Amino acid sequence: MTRLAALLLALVPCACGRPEGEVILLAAASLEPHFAPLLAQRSGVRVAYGASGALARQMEQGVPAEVVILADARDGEHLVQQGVLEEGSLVPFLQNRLVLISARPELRSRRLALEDLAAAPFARIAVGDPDLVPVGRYTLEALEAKGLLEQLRPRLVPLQTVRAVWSAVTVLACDAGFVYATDVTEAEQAQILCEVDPALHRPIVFVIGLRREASPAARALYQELRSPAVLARLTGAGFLRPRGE
Amino acid sequence: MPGREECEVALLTFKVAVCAVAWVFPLALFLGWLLARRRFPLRSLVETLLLLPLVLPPSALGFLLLWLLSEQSPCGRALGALGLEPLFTWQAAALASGVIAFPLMLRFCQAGFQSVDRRLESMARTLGASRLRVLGAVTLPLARRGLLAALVIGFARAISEFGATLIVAGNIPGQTRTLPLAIYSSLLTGQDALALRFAAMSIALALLALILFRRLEPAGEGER
Repeated sequence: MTRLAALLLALVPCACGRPEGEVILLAAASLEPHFAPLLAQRSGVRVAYGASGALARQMEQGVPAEVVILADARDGEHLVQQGVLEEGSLVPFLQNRLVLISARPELRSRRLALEDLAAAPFARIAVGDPDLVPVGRYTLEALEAKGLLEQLRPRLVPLQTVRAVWSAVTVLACDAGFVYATDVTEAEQAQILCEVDPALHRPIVFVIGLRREASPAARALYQELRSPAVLARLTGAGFLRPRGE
Repeated sequence: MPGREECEVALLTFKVAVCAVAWVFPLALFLGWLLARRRFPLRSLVETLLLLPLVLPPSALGFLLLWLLSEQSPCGRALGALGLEPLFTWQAAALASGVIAFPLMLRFCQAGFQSVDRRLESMARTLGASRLRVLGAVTLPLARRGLLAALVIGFARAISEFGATLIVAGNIPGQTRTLPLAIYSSLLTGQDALALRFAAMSIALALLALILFRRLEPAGEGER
């Protein structure tokens, strides 16, 4: 019994501390399917994915993450203002597009205009929770611009990340949902009904930033993620280069 | 003073928990009686399976319920044909919290029935009472404390349900955002003061339920 207790006590330090030099990266949930293979071979990084609004909040509260990628420049700018991110480190990383998807079999290979949404037989439309999830903010902006928001509001189901929207649509818990074009990784699971006109919402710019007084390892990761090789893989997956680069 | 949002959330939480307990209690009552009084084949297997929601991650249960209620499953399609689409409604929240609260309620109902002296039941039978009369006049009144404890603990569990509810009912303000979800949301959106008020409300409700529960606990002091 004492030996077991001693063993358990000996394990405590291993269970707590992180390996020396490991960098924590917080990344927008929409990057998870694309980053997972990219970072699988790389050691020394721990990634946590989530809604950008929630990630920004976590950084503000002192989560020891040193590199952050957010799907809304506003969340990033807020962190710079709060003195969390290094000034000048926050730069556009990638751009994305908004699409309406559905997995309902009867809608296979159908196309819709955004205006048709009001009349479409969709009881539940999944969107990102606009409080925290950028894709939800862009969606609401587009619906507002089209004058559809008030009419559709009772049918909107706000969910906690863009991946949750994808899941709700693919398991048919919702009839349709708004996600990024890059979320449609498996076309058999859901099809795009409509590509939302980018003029209807703020540009969808993913930003990357570095915590103030970041370690050299974190700076290396920050540079590596912005390298042409990584960007080429991500643009190959449907992300767009930010304008002006 | 609690604002409009807090009242709305508290009221919704109360409604969801009451409905959860209401649909689960008859089941827990019947199965608790069955497990306490009857021998049948595979009894311990059935008992184990019924207790499963107690130890399963609520998110796993939520996922199962999501599948059951969505149109992927025959059950969801049958509900859809009847015009019922419970996902992302408060009814789904009540269903999920009910499933989570069920094993606890079952346990207390079972214990309540087991605490009834069987000799009293057979005595009533020999004095000519029908089975139903025995149940109503002897068993249920004597098992009362256990059954009430089951109601209170089930309610307490239902008001604190988070994981399964988030999955099947979402976190929709005014519709499915119950107290635990409201704490989560207000924390994530940086409204710490609001989160604190919600947390205080949860503590008050939980304390109330526990005080009530301690007075009802079958093995507690009091009548014995």
